[in-house]
Amino acid sequence: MSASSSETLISWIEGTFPMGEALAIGGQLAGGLPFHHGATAEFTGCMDAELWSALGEALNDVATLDCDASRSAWVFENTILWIATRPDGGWIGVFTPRDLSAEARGTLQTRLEQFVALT
Amino acid sequence: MSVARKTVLLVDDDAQFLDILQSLAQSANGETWTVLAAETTALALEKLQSNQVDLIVVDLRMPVVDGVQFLQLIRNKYPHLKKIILSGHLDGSSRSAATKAGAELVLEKPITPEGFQNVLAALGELLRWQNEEGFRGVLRRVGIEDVIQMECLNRASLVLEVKSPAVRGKIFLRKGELLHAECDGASGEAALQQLLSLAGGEFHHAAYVEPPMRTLQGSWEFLVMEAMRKRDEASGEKTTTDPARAVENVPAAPLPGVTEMVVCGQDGEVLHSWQSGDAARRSAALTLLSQSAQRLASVLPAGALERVEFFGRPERVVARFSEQGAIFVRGTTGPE
Repeated sequence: MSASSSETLISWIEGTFPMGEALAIGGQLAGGLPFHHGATAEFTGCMDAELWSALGEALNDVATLDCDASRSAWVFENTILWIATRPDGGWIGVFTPRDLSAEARGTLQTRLEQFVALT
Repeated sequence: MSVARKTVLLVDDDAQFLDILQSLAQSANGETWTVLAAETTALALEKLQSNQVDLIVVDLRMPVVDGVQFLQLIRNKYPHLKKIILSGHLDGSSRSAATKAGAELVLEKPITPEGFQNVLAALGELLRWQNEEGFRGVLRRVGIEDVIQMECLNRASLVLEVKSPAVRGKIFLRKGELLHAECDGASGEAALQQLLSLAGGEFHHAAYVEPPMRTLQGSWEFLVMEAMRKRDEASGEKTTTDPARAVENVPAAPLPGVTEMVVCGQDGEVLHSWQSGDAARRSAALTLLSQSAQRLASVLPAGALERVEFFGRPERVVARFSEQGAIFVRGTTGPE
């Protein structure tokens, strides 16, 4: 991914993902460069680039499950991590509360699909 | 609105590290925290006795009494105290030992400014936690069986008074021997089972008194295991997260639409596989996923990983995790 398209992607994320119901947002651009875009006070750990790099490694581990891992939801006791992966390998992760409303969930999934399709 | 002041006690034999962490913690949160420091566990015990400490941060590797031993030492006396273990040499076994000893968080010892900030953020987060689940009086996610086990191993004599919104009961121990259990009209093994099946509530250690009668016979290990087995049996119809139970219940073809299934135990051993070309590979991936989630949960208030769903097309994969292991299911059904 070129520097300009990385910037485009980051700008799009910043414009499209106001924090709203999200607890934290981050991921990796194609090539592995981690990014994070805000976090609530409880999720300040997400401001650490290493966290997103480690999650990227976990996504690589998923390959041995032999499944399409481009869209996934990691359901924790207190939160859900929604992940969408682009064809170029870049991916975004969004932490939300577990009790996300149907409307908010629909909006989130639309935005994740836009992230995947963004050129 | 005033914020309740919290007291944090840092324990580390490395005076320089202790000084840095105390200074940073005090300067970042001086308005709401009182930060105490102790270079030895003996000094730490003195400070615990003379202060109302909310959170203790203990180095894993210390001379004489290490961090895990120290937590084991204080967990009964200070049941409401939140605990963090710091270590520069974390591995699976030390992490497990620290958690078993009562640490709510096990963190890498910071060596960079960002690392220190992360640790301070974790301290702040833990101070905000409320013991909303599990048993007050001990730790989150620690069951009464753990408390009984510990007291029996210590050959303690006491009465454990257990209280939940629905049930009140008592368990009598004398020199590490289970003598009597009672709750809401039940006694003996039935009462013990009922108390062990509580999902939350609170308990208190009371001074030992002779029970009205002896209703429990046999080793505490057998009694606790039997009560837990009956508890699991009773709840078996409600849950399918226990891989061992899943094995018992797995039919030849699990469900319409399911194309592959693997059940793993807590150590990653494959307990059952159906239509899986490489169950060991699946198990290894599930273990890695679980480990990644644990690392995540050590820095975020995410809690335990329950499941991961992959919404591929036309297949959908669900990996479900519990303390007993993991279940991997591949199917052709669409997402919820």
